[in-house]
Order: sequence, then C-alpha cells, then structure tokens
Amino acid sequence: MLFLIGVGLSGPDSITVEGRETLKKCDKVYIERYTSFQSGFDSRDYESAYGLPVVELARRDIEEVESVISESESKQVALLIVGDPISATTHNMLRYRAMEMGVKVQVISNASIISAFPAICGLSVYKMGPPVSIPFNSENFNPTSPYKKLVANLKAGFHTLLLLDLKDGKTMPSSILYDNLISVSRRTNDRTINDRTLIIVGSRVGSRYQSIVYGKLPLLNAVEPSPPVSVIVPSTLSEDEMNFLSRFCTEYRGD
Amino acid sequence: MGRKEDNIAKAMEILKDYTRIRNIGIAAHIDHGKTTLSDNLIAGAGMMSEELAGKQLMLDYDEQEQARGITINAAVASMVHQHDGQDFLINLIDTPGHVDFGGDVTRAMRAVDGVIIVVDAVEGIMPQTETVIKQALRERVHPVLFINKVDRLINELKLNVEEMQKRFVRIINDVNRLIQKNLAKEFGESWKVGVQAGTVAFGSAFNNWAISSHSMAANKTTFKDILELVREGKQKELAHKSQLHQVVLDMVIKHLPNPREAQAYRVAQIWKGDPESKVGKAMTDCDPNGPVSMMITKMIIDPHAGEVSVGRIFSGTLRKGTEVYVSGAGNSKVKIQVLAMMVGPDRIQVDHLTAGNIAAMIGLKGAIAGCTVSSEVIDPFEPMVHYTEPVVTLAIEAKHTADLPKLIEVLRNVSKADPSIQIDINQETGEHLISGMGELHLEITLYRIRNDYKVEVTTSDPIVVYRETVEGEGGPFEGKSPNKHNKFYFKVEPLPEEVITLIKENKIPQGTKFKDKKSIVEMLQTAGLSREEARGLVAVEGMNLMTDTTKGIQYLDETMELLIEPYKEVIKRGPLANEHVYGVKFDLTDAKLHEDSIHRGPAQVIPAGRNSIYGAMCEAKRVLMEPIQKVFINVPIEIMGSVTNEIQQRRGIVEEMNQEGEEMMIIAKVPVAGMFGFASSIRSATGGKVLWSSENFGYQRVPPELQKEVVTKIRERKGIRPEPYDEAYYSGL
Repeated sequence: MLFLIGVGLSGPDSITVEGRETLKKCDKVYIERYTSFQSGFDSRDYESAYGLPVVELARRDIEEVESVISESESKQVALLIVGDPISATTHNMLRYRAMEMGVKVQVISNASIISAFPAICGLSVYKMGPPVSIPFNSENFNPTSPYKKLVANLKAGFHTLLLLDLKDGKTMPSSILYDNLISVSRRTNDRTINDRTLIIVGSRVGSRYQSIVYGKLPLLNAVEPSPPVSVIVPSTLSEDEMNFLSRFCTEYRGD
Repeated sequence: MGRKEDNIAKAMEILKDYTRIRNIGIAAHIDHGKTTLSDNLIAGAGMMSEELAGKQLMLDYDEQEQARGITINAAVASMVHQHDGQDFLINLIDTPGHVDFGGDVTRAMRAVDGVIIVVDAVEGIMPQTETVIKQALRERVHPVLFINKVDRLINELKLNVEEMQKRFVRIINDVNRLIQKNLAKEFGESWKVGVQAGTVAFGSAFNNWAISSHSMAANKTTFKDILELVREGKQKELAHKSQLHQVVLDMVIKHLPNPREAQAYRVAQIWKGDPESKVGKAMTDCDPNGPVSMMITKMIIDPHAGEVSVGRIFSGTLRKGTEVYVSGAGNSKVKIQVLAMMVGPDRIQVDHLTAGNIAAMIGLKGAIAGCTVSSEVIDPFEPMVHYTEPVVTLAIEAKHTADLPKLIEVLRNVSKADPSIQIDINQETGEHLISGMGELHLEITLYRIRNDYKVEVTTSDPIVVYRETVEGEGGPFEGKSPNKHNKFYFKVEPLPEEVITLIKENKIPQGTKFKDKKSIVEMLQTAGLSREEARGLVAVEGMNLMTDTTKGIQYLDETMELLIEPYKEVIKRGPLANEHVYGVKFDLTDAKLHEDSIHRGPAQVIPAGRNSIYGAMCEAKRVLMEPIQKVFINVPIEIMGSVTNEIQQRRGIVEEMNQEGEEMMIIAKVPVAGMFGFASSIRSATGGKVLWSSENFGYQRVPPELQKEVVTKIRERKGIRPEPYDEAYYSGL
C-alpha cells in the first residue's frame, strides 16, 4: 500500500490528523522536496516532529519510482509531499504507475498553494486562469509560451498564479523573473506586461511567516522575499477584490 | 652591387606597376619536379647562384624538407625577369605535392592568378595532377603546362620523335579534358593549353633547358635537333641555347594574367561581399588607392621573428607601421611592425606594397592562414575549401610537467600555421590530441615541435580516425525524457551522396541559420530529399542533416534549440565507438511535449532526443568506416613480389599494375590502419629500390567480419564499455 500524504504549507505541523494517524501504521516514510518545498525545514525536522525515520528522495527517484512502488507491494509505504500531494503531474504519474502494477494507493489531501494563495489575497476563485510555470532560461532554452499564456489569461480577464522554477532548493529570485518577463516582452514585441503591470508577491505563503505585498512590476527588483516565493499577476480586479487585497495585504509604494 | 641586390632594386621599381607583376604557382604530382623547376627559375632570374640550383632546392628551406626531399611549406619567392625589353616581377609560390599537405596547396592557389602545371613526361597525368588542376580551376587560377623530364623519354625509354610527340599529345589532351571538366562554362575554350598557342613548354628542369613553339621558332630548332643534342649528352649546350627560365618565364608573362586582369574575374569567386561597394570595386580594379584588402594564405613560424603572415594584397597599399583589421581577431586594429617581400627564406624589408603583390608581415596578432586583413571592416574572403579531413590522430604530452603551458601555446601555433592540423582536448582524460592528414604529416609536425619549438614531448602511437554511419533506415524510434512526459521520434537513414556533395562544396552551409532558405530547399529536393524534408531543414553539422517533418506540434518551436544539442552530441560521439558520425539524415517525425515549460526543460529534452537518435541508429544498422589510402609504387619488376606481399599483409588490394620499361607501377588501396610503418618496411623489403607516394582516398566500410573486433578495440582504448548498447537499452531509458 502506498500513501501519498500532503503536509500542507506550514512545515511538519500542517499535516492533517488523518495524515499523522496514517504515518503510525507505515513501515517506511519518504519525503519528496523537489516539486515543492518549505523553507526552514529539512527531513530531520519531519523526523523529530513525527517521531520516525524519514528518507528524502532526490528527483531521479521520483521519476524512476519502480523501487518505491515495488517496496509498496509488500509494505506500508508513505510518501510525504509538500502542499497537496497530487497537484503536480509527477505525483499523479506515480499514482498511475503504482495502480498499474497492482499496488493500492491512498491520497490524503492538504492545502495547495494553487488555491491558498489567491484566497489569502482575497481574489475570487472564479476568476483564476490556468497557472503558468516560469522556467530558468539557458542558452538554448528561452520559451515564449509562458509569457503568451500569461497574456492570454490577462486578456480573458483571468488572474494568473506563476509557478517559479526551483534551483538548488530555492525558487527563482524575483529579479530574474522580472528580467525574464521583460526580455520576452521585447523579443515577442508584445508589451502587455510592462512596468505598470500590477503584481502580488508572496513569501512563504500559508505559513505563520507569510508576507504578501502588491504593487507595480518593478517591485520584483525592489524586494528580496525569502523563498518559497509565489507570484500572482492579477487581471482587472472587481471592487470587492480591490477592497480585500488592500485590506489583507501590504501595498508597495516604491518608485 | 651583386646580381641579387640589383634585382631587388629592380623589383622595388616594378612593385607599383601591376601590369608587370605575375603571381604564379607551380603544382604537380609528387616527384614530377616542381621544386627543381622553381629553383632553376629563381637561379636563372639571378636570385641564387646557378651552380647550386637544382641541388640546393632553395624553396625547400625547411631542414625537414631537404632531408626528405619533398616540399612541405608553400614558400614564396619573388624574381625579376626581362621580357621584350621590360622588367617583370614574378612572385612564385611553391606548393607541396605530398597528399598529406593538401591544405597548403589550396591556400597557395588563393594567392596566385596563374599556375604552371608540371607533368612528368614518363608518368603522364597522375591522380594528384588531377587534384591540383581541379583546385586551381576552382580558384579561377589560369594554367599553363610544362612537360618535364623529356630527357628521360630520350635516354631511358629511347623514343623517337614521332613516339615522343604522340606522348605529348596524350598528356596535353588529358590536361585539356580536365580543364574542360572543371572550368566554369563562361571561360569556354580559352583556358585550354596548346603547343601552337605557346601555353605548353617541354624540357628538363634538372638539366635546366626548355623549349616552346615560341623558342623553337626564335632559335630555329626542331624536336629532332633537341633529340640529337640530348642523345649525344649535350644537354649543357642545350641549356645555354634554350634556357629553362627564359622559355618558361616568357610563357608565364605572355600567357598568364597580371593581377588586375585576374582580379576582374576572380573576385566574384573568392569574395562574396557587395561588388558595388567601395572595397568591392577596389578589388575588381586592383586599385592601389582603395581600401586595403588582403588574404593571409600562409603562416610561417620563424625562430627569431616569430609569426610571419604571408598573403596576397587584392586592393589598397600596405604600409609599414600602419594598423589593420584582422578578421576573427577582435574589433581592434593591429600594427604591421615589419613589411617585407619574400625571396625564399629571406625577407627583404620594404616600406609599402601595393595591390597585386604578395606581402610578408610581422606583428599581425591573431592572424591565421585563411583570414582577411583590411583597413576597414569588410566581409571576409570565402573560406578555402578543403577536400581532406584528418585521418590519423595521436595523444601528445609534455615530457616535463613544467612545459605544459608552453606545449599548449606551441600546439596553438602549429594549428595556426597549418590549419589541416587539428588540436582537440579529450574531455574524459584531459590529454591533448593532434590530428592530421597522415602518419608522415604528424611525424613532421612532431619534428617541428621538438626541434623548432624545443619542447620535449611524448606521444601515443598514431591512431586511425574512424567514422560511423548507418546502413539502412531506422526508426521512428521513441525516445523518452526522464520524467516520461516528453517523447521524440527520430528516423535516420543514409544521406544521399548528392546532398553530401552540396555540403562539401559549401552550397549548403554548416549550422542552423540559412540566409537563402528557398534556394537551399530547391537544391535539397533536386538532390533527392522529399519536399517535406527539404522544407523542414533544421541544422547541418559535418556531413549530416537534421530535418523536422512534424506538423503543428505546439511548443516544438521553443524546444527545437534543445533538440539540436543531442543531434550535435551524437554526431561527435556515434553510438558504435564514439567516433564522428558521417553522412546520416536525422528526421524528426513526431514529438509529444508536456504542456508546461518546466516539464520540458534541458534536463528532459536532451536525454530524450539522444535516446531517440541513438535508438534509431541501432535499428538502421550501425556501420564503421575507415580511411583508405591509394598507394602508387614504382619498383623494378624482379622484386615486385615483395611489394605485393607487403600490400596484402596490410589488408591492401592491388588495383592496377602497369609495366613501364624495367619498372612496374603498382596502384593499390590500403586502409590507413594498415599503413603504419609502411615506409620503413617497404624500404627494407625492396632494399630501398622503390619509389612510392600515396593519397587519401576517402572512407570505406570496415569489412563486416572485422567490425566487431575493431569497435571493441576502440571502445577499450577509450575506456568505455566494450560492447555498444542496443536499441532495447535506449528504449528502456
């Protein structure tokens, strides 16, 4: 049996009671911190919080999951995943392959940044467009599709949650996000995103250390939020949303 | 003032008048006598003593060259010759004839406007004669013909006048057939050579005499007179009556173009910039007052002066102390510290040199053979086409670790001076690899490193450079990314020979950017590709092509750059033995991509592409190719058996045997892998009574029954798993 257990957004303590109870009957507990992570915690914090050994999986093991799955054939195995356990394609793939191999899978849900962040900002869930990943660019990899998707959302009146790529256990620095957006806007000659575009920048959203500011795009260069960083590019805000946002979050009034 | 100094003074006078300048080369098959001819021309013109000529081999000024009796460097000599009461300046560039030095020949052709093709009267047209004629005509260099060693026809083969004339006619017809075949149509019949036209001379370069229709008319001599003089051993008398340099240089001045005449039709061929621009016009007109444009055709490393750049000035005037741009060496100008003309190994310093001349310069930092020098930033000259790629390589190390930085510097210089030498670093072991055109080529390069540059080095045994290709069709083969969300499907098959020719001739450029895509697509279709493949051209790498025939796959455009990486990687490291891949067409037929860009980054796409390409190549049956040399051997009939024996032991095949008097001419094809040590074993097998030469003959399939063994050996040498991976491995990744 394989349990995919979400641990929520606030470290070991945000696991659900159901999740916590499930861990007690498991023979082996893994944690995966590649697709998402919480800063300030490592696998030992989870071990001491839950009182059992926790083995951390690297990316490769998640993609080549055969060994975890085959272990689950005879044992009770839990995989701890930050946030909600199956929001990422990777984990549904794992679930699918386990079931194909005849292994039973149980999912224990938890809060996900995808619903939590807009809600905390006071944005209407009905106006959220598809989230857009922003990858690190390299010499031969400079995709324009993320920008185009963002622009399509904006034009349709949808807010966009940006999922920032991870490197060395950290989310992309906000200044790199700024350069990325501006350089694609120049390259594609589409100035929909510019220095007057409104954005919301969240740091450690969903945890007790969270902080959220909003302002114009250059805000990304002005602040150095501690990771994980989440960003929303809102479309036109309704009156309610405007009121909520200014009450719940801090406006940045730099240049 | 000695005659040499007197001539230098005269030469200075002529430098400014391009109508009295001829830039010429001498080209021939090995041992047909071009260095002897060069020396006697130079001596005759008073640039060296007459007694030494033919013995000293002036142009072979490298110690190595004299020891081996063959010409390695294309050296330059300027000489003065009087014709019709006027002094002319002739800049002669000697070119090596040995197959291993093909790069030098091509570059020498860029500097000259005319060429004397030397053919041995006994041997006739040889394969390398064909190659040099082809190279000359490609560069639009005008030929005349000198039939050498005529005395051998008379004294050794004992031919009579009719038989001799018959032989001449055959050689002339052969040369003209080659000219017709290789010359652009607009030149029509005008470049063909003929006795009556005065563009053919006969003689003996060694014995210092020559005749032409012109000289025979002037001296009222006939072939019969000549035959008698030679038979009676009176070649000295003949040499006085009909001097080699008089006859040959008269022919050169009369029938080969001056720089301006030549540049009018050559510039379009060798420079692709705007002909209507200021510099374009100056080049076509050979204008000394226009902007400077020149091409470096030769780098000489002088132990005292350092790097000497030699090249042809196409427009403007070079002045000592002024600054010029050197293409490929950054945006700042460099100063010409010393300007000179070359007389064999001597450099005669001058203050300035005008368009149409050959100049030697010291101080041109960053210059390499083939680069463009100019006073303004201009389009560089067309790269010079090489037909040959390195076939032999070896690992080189400094004997003393402290010499390592010096060795790196020396290797850089060596490949600068001779671009047919390739230097690589083995990424796995960190050792330096030096590759060249043959065993001899590497031996001579090593000699230079040890003796000229004084670096003590140790080397591995020379290793053959193999190639990989495929036998048939393979794929579409599914290659998956590590996260399994992305899949690519490549199909591979041999690239049609016609397409390889287009790439070789640079009609289809390397890389991924194609200026005139429409005409390239047309060429590819004519060469046998389907319309879809031709239109889907993505990248050219070496002699390989990547095409994309997928339709409407979202996000593929922003993924393509990533996919080119594994394509290039596979070409550098083929699936069989990590040797370079040659002549394969890679067609992307389908792709499945993840919606989200983070899930299809470099770490996913590169391995997926690689698995697909390698897998498809496995399915297409991987083939190992090895370089082959054509070997020409002259040996007395009675010991011919030991030669054929030697060839067979080296996996060689005898292709032709022709009897010529007491001698047997053997032509064989031998794998380069079997040629190591051939020189010394053939010498000892025949007691030294053998003359041989070789030329690279391209690549052939390693015999199928040997392939597995050879592959295992290469893989073991490279420290990789002895057995290559199969398609099951690549589909499981």
